[in-house]
Amino acid sequence: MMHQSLFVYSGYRYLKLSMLLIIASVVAYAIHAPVDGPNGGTWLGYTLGGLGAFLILLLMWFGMRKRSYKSSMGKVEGWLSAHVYLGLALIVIATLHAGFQVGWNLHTLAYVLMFIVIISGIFGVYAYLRYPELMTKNRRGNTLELMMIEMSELDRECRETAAKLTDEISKCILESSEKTTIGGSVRQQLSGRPKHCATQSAFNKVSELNKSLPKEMADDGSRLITLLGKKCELVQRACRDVQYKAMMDIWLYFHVPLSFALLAALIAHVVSIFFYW
Amino acid sequence: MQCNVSFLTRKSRGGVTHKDDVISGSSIRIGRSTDNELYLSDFRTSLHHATIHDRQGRYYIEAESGSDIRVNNNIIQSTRLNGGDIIAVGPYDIKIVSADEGKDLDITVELVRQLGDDLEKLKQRSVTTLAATGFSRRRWSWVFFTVIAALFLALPIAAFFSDDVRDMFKDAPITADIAWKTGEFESAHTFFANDCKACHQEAFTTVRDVACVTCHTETHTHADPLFFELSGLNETRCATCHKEHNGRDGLVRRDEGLCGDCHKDLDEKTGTDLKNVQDFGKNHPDFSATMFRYDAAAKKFTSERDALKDKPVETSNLKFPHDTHLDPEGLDSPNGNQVMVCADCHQPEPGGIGMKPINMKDHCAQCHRLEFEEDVPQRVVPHGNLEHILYTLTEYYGNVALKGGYDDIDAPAVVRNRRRPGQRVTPRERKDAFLWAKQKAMSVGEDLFEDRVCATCHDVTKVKDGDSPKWEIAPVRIADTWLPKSRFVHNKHKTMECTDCHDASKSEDSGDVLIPAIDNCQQCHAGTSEVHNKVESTCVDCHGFHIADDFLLGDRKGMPARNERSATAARMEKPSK
Repeated sequence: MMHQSLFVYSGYRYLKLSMLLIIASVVAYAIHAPVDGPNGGTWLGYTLGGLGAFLILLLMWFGMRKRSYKSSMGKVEGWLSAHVYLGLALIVIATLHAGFQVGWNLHTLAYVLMFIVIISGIFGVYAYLRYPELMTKNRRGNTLELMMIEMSELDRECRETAAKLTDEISKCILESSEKTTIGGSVRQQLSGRPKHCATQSAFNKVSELNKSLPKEMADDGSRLITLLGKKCELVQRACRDVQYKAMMDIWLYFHVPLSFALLAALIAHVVSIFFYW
Repeated sequence: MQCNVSFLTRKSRGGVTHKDDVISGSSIRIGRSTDNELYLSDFRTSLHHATIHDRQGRYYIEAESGSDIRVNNNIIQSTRLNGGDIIAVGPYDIKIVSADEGKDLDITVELVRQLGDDLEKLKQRSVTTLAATGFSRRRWSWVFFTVIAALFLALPIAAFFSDDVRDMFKDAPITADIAWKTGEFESAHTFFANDCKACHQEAFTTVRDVACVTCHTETHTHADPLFFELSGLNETRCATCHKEHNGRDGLVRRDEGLCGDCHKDLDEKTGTDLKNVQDFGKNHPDFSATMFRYDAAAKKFTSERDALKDKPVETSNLKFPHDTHLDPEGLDSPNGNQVMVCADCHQPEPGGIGMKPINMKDHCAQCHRLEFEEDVPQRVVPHGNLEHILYTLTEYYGNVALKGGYDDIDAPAVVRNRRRPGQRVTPRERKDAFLWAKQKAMSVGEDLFEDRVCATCHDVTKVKDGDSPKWEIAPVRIADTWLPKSRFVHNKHKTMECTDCHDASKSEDSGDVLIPAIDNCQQCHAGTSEVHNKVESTCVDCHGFHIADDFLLGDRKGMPARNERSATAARMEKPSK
């Protein structure tokens, strides 16, 4: 189980390391009493700042490491475990480095970016713990591809059945098979349901039209309702599958670009400190 | 009518097969329903889609209500058919081969719009991953990285090296490099605060003192760098103690290490006779007062520092017993019995730091009246100059002598006798009168100087005898500061009584120095260690740092010397141990 080994990896090695770093930082911060108050410019400030910058680079290197399958530099599993725990420790280290000072400047920008990146990462951990299970339940052994194949099979059956029925009904069926979409825009993917589901509206219309169907068509009519009902359920599950996948991905769209924003801000922060020494 | 229909089917390898049929009827209905003459099975055609009519040998097509037909791509409800027309009915194309008037209708029917792969179409319509929506993590990463690096790294650096860039942002709400600001500026520095270069003059170099000295031209160094060639001292930057970017009030180091780092063992380091000190509460040396003493031979005051605990005696040349004046029973004064308090004479300066100077007119003359003639108490001699006093006396007694009627048996008759109105004084009488007046003035003056008035407070010496004798009064120097190296603010100690520190009521002599020793201060003040319940007091609470007498900050580190003193001359002035 990937999501468990992430936390317990190697006997909580990185949890212990992170706790050690946090405790050491807090103790040093508590003891240290610089004349101008705690800030990034004291010896402890520089130490914590150096440590923080190193951690940020290390955490970002995870993106490289996970793509390099040949690398022998530790297991990806271990890297991820370290990524999570050290990332959390970074909140404490960076805050103490700043000495709780904030302002409208580059330095606080870097801090805020770091914070958003970490928060999005925390959501990522949550998503990886929560959604795979929901996804498995929702798919019932299928994949999205299989669900879509099943949908087009249903479409064909619906059409064959509808061919014997009225024009209005076949129009509905045509719309259902030609206009039903799974997912869509970012918002639609995240919402888990399409804005206007053609299958659902076909189901509603056909149910209505069925009532005025002549007797000899009634069998085919009710068969069509059943088929459409099945398709509706399938569309819903497919949309939810897309939603879960989107939830597992969306945070990365903040986590990754903002971590590069952070990298730029970090470089500018370090350069500015020594430039105006 | 009769219609020859040819159903065409194209093969995947190419080639066409056709199945021919002949349809007859009064009209030919086209549709999905099996009761149509021309039966088109695809569900995209309507049950009854259109009908071809024969009207007097001419063929017309008419769409059923709710259905569309396209004749040569035009949506049309009904039209006459001509050879070569192509009529689209649902997915089928019906080509009119021949529709000549009065002859059979020849048509071909072909399913040209095959129903595509539903799955493929569904997949094409559906966007099932965030990556497929067009948002690219890689692209946004680059965008963010570039924008932030440009705004917060490239632009500030460009502004540092290029005045053109700097000027471009001069009137902008924020200057190019202000985003690098690490904290609020001290209020005095805010007027140039947006110009980082005002202080940060070189890249990758700490702020140099030359930037501070640009404005702070009158600030003194701590110690004369020629006496104390200490690396620790002379390499200390302004910014070592003055921490900018720490808020409007600014921040100056006041910790124990500020002074203690050097002064805890200054004697070993420098061989100075200055005493070591680290903490006010623990090891501050005893207070030494700067004492002024009168050298009668040289007729001038000299100063030296003496430890207060040794009870040094001062010579101010003024006789003033504090105890007499502060007698709780009161004093006999021209206005009757008067009980005096400290504040009758000692009034604080407007700044509240020290006390206003004491002077005869405001503080003494009310009681100590300089009268010389018992019968005329309103007449006094002026204070301050003996010659003026003698002159005043001579003038007074000259006037008395000429007027006559003065009650003195030793005086000549012209002085004693009352004169009638209009009676003239002979030259002889006038000479006698002036001679008497001069002698009288001298004797009264001698009495005032040596006995009755001046000598009460001053040291008076007769320096010349004879016809025109001379007296001298020793110059008075009332000290106002005994501890000039420290800063004591009276105002801050208002809650105390004067006598808590100055034991004046028991002082019989003006030679007593009424400044308390260090233990008096230590009752309330501690240093920075072992504060307990006392006031934590740092060195700079009492002492200044920029105290070198002659050397300004601008003088050191190769900056042009402000004064003309040469290094050799400076060494010669070095205080002996």
